[in-house]
Amino acid sequence: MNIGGLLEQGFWAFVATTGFAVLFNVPTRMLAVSGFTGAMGLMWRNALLEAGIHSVAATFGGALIVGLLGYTQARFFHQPRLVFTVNGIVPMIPGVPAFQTMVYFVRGDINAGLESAVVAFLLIGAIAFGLVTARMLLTLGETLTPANPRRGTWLREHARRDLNADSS
Amino acid sequence: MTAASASPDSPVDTAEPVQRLSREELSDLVEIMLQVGEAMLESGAAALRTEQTMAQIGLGLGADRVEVYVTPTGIIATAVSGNEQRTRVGAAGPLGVDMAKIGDLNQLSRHIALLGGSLPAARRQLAAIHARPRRQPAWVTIPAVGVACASFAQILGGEWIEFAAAGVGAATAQAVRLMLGRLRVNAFALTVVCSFVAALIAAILCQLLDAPRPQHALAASVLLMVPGVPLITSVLDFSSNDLVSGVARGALAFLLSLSIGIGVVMALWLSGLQVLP
Repeated sequence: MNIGGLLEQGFWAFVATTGFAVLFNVPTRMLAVSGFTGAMGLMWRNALLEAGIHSVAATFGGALIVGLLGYTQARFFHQPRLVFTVNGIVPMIPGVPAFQTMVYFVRGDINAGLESAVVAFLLIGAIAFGLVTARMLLTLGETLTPANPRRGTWLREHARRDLNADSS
Repeated sequence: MTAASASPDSPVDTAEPVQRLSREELSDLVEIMLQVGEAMLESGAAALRTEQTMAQIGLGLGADRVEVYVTPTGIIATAVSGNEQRTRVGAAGPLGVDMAKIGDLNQLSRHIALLGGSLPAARRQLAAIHARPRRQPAWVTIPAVGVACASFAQILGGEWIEFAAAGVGAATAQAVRLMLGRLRVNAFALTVVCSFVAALIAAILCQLLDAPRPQHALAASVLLMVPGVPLITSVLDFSSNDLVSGVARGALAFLLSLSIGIGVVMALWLSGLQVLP
């Protein structure tokens, strides 16, 4: 795939992500921003695929980019991270393997169906772990602050300090 | 950043006069916290995010200590002030997605945490957030989803025929979803019906236009029903150690995906379309 093909895929990913952002009721000013995140994620994945990297690893890389980019945007625009991350991974959803799974199972071809199911599952797992890895990288120091000594209990003394640590 | 957060290391509470909330006020406070938490869950927020928002609001409104346990369908919340404490249990659901509302509630919690607030004012602001109309009106989602799913047909490797088939199918399915949503149809039944409609229309259009790769159009047309938010939130919940939320959301996402499969299979069977070699 040349640069033109990559940009074309990026354009379609931008349109798709923006459309889903409308469905998820993202604030109007953030529509194009989340579309940009989706386009970057898919373009990175395709570039990695083009470089001969396995599709699961490439999808992981794309989701990692979406996560890093999305968390940066969330801090910059003061929006929940969900707005950029969940929309950004939309173009990488393995629609065709999932669809093949259904068709093969209905046809009675269990082997081919299982093969597609495993591929779809691995790709979804790669997306999820890409996002989680990005979150772990970016919140490395925050998880062990005294602001939140124990989950479920929140004390007044810690509230202000916690607010300063959490700037998104 | 406001002036209040300019000196992170200064002791905060020593300068403030100690104000105890009465039993009734504490009851009001927990009620507000529960309303916020339920709205967050119903808008698709993760458990940790919901808990943080509720705690910031509870502490900002004057509680000394707040204890929260969040699951996708219910919340247990306790607020403590002096010797008084109140515990309430709230139920949430059905789960949907509304990112603008999550943003609004986060902003409210930040304001209350930084500036404090009175209980009536918080209640009023919460009511204002609930009364706010959708930023993207419902009818706009019909063409938007159509174009988005059509773009997927292009991403997956289809041509303009698949683009058109997927777009028309998805837009019709979104219209059906809005209609059934107004009737409060069960989420699984709704998913089966909408995926059936989307796939059937895409399949019929592919047959009429003699599309070379109908599987791309069919796969793209049902993507609007994919439970992306529960799927991702489930993994995020696992990563922040909320196992109950993670398992529950994962199971929900799995069953919704299965419902899509049922709808597509029925459409394939009815249309008799031959896909995949």
